[in-house]
Amino acid sequence: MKILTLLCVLAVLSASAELTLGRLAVNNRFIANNYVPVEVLLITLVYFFSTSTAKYRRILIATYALFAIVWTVDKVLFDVPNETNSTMALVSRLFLFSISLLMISTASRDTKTALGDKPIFWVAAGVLLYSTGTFVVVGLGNRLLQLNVTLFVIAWHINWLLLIVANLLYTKGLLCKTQA
Amino acid sequence: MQNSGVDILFVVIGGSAILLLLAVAYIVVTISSHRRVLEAQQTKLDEVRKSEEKYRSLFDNSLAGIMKFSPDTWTVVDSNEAIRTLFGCGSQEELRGCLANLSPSSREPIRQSLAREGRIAGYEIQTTRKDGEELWILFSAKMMTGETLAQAVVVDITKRKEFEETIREQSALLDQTQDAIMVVDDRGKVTFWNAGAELMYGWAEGGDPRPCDSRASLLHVQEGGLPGSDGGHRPIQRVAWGALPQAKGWERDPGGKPLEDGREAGQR
Repeated sequence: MKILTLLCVLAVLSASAELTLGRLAVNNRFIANNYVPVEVLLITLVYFFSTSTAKYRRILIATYALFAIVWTVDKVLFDVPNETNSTMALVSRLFLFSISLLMISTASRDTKTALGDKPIFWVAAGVLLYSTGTFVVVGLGNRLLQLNVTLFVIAWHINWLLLIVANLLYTKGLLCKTQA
Repeated sequence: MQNSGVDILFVVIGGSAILLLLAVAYIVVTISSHRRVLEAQQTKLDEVRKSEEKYRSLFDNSLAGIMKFSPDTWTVVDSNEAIRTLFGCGSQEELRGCLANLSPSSREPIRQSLAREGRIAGYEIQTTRKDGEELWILFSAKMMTGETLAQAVVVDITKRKEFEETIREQSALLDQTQDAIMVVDDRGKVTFWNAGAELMYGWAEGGDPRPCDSRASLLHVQEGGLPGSDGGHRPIQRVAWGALPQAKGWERDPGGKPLEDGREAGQR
């Protein structure tokens, strides 16, 4: 749960930094681009420590290793400075979507405790909602930005809204009776 | 350009809404199915609990002592109040101590029988209560399916043993006397026949009660007027089977043995 707390703090810091830099008219896209692997790593660690099944742990490690390779390759070969890396944003959401489904499914198999009493369920639900809800926004964000900034800002509200929802669900997870 | 942007915005909002709805639906379905599973599990658990309470009550309130134990180590895993009372123990630990008092010669046949046949029935053991008082128990046990433990039912037979001893003593006393004493049940069968009666009527008791020949002899003797209708006693005569009055409904016991020729009445 310490990792989850760290994730919440980093999410708030990242959003605040983006907002501040945006207000100062400084390009803030590098924050979002570099925050992606950190966010994925922290969520993977939260999932990793919440499950005791060796099989799921191996799956999480293997999937994150694959993600890290893809991210590094993309960073080295295809990175465009000062532009949102929508490809990696999409890949990260796909990755988070997959492992969140896996964790929800794992949590629902355990019938000793109610699903609502499991912190991991709330975290996975938050990540699932955020990654699916923002999938289209990040996928088409650059295209929208090129066409109309105002429309992009409108669309980006989906991201903020879902970020709040996800953090509320993380908090619910932190306040659960049964702590992992 | 503006129209294209609005179109993309709609695609973004619509696409996000659809994906979000799918995610929410997945979460809701998962929660609901999990709740149903939990409820079904809870219902089953309640049924099991009720059943367990029912059998627990039978176990606890049984007048016979019941315990669950390991035949190898004689470690008591569970016991009811009756068995603890029987041994005069207040707790399971004390009961363990009392069972430790059982002699190895008592324990070994139980262990062997349980290992070989998986059960033992009606095994009588002499032991002591916690306070040292003598105790006789009737021990029956059966191995529990799929476990290394056995379930035992223990009944206190100390009183029965005392009665048996008393009867044995009285029976021995009855055998000492020269008077013919016999016990006849309501169907006319002789259930006890002492040595005096053997001598008097000429039929030996062969261990098991052999009522027919004894009755026959008795009848014949009575017909002969044994008690003496004239006030005196007539001499006792040995009776031969062939002379018995079958017409009176007496059956001959094929195992009946007349006393050997040459033995005199009064001689043992």
